[in-house]
Amino acid sequence: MPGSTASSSPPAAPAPSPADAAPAAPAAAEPDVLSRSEPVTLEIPAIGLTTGLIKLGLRDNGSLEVPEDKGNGAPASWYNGSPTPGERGPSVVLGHVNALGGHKGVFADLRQLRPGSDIIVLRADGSSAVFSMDHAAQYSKDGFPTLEVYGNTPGSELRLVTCDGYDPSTGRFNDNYVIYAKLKT
Amino acid sequence: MNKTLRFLAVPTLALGALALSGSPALAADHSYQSTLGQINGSSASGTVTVDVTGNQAHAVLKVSGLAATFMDAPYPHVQHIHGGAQGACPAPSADKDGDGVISTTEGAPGYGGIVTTLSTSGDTSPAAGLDLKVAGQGASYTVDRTFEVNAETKAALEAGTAVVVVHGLDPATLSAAGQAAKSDLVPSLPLAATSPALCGTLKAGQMTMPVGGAETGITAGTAGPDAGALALGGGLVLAAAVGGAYVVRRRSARSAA
Repeated sequence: MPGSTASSSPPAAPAPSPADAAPAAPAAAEPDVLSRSEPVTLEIPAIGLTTGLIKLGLRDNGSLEVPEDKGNGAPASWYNGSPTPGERGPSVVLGHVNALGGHKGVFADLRQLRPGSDIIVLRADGSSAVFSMDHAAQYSKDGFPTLEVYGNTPGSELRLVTCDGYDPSTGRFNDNYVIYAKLKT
Repeated sequence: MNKTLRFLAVPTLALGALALSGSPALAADHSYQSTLGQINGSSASGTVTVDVTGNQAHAVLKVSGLAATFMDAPYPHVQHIHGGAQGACPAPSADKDGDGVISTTEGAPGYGGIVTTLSTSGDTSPAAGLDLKVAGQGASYTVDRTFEVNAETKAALEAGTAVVVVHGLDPATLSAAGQAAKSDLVPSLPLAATSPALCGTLKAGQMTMPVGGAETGITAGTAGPDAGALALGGGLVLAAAVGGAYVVRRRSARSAA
């Protein structure tokens, strides 16, 4: 139920396509990235997760739209205003921590991830972007550091965002838990 | 599907309004950002975002760790967008007179002159650049302003040469020579008062930045077993909300295909 099984098995061994293969030595310090291609599936082997990725934008108030749980769990989503996974910049992926009826959400087990864990995004062009977890952080929703999470990055990075800080007295989640990962090159 | 149809029977007006809310309607034409770094050992930190929509700029500057007080009052920190030069913050070598302090003038070859004053109220033109009454106050604060962006600032943003500089150092952290020196800008003030404390070059954002975090937890109110019954029970607002979410999702799915 968690991670509503999306497109089951990806095309085998997609070849990573180095975007700017030609100009091998542009100004230093700009890590190689992939060309733009929208994400299709997210895989995190360490926690046995495979989920489809839907595409969502922003609400009228500028905050992120989140996947709708219609009773059988919701897949994760990619924020379509952020770079595609593998492009330069931080690509933002959201998933619920829980689900209707007290079930686990697609990102319920993110806390088990440790630095170095692989996070694989299969993309529409058949390539895959393989990220390595760097670190994680928990932020109060009241003091969410938008620039730290969504700000520019020199290379291709990934942000996995879910909820934490459940408050039994209100039934609300007061915090966000964010995994920071970088494209393996 | 039955449920869905019932939700869609909600008055058209409410649905229309909510359907609109799914798109990034307020997205700026251009978004710029910078993480500010300390200058002159101020040990301060900060961030700034500037969103430009048409001729309007929305700037949000957040700083902390600046000098807190000056003559028993909150320390006034004048702060600006500079432009028209290299779009660079000064390196320690910019201290040409060797007094251990990079003055505003010494930093200018890198960041240029003032193109916008990030004042706390009123005038945002360069003319307000040294007005202490509309300077940032104290060690930590946020300035959130929307103003008409002038041509110089717009050009600097687009050229990548716009640099945010927050001025004002704690005199006690300066060398003896620095403490004795007068400001290069306002001779009646000490050098510390107008010298740069924070600096950062505004760069085009790699995304349209969302506001805040994400509601990625199903709250008890909607996750409870009664949620469905409640919605069907007719609270117009709740029903409309669910309907709106449905419309949005449909649209997303369509555009994805």
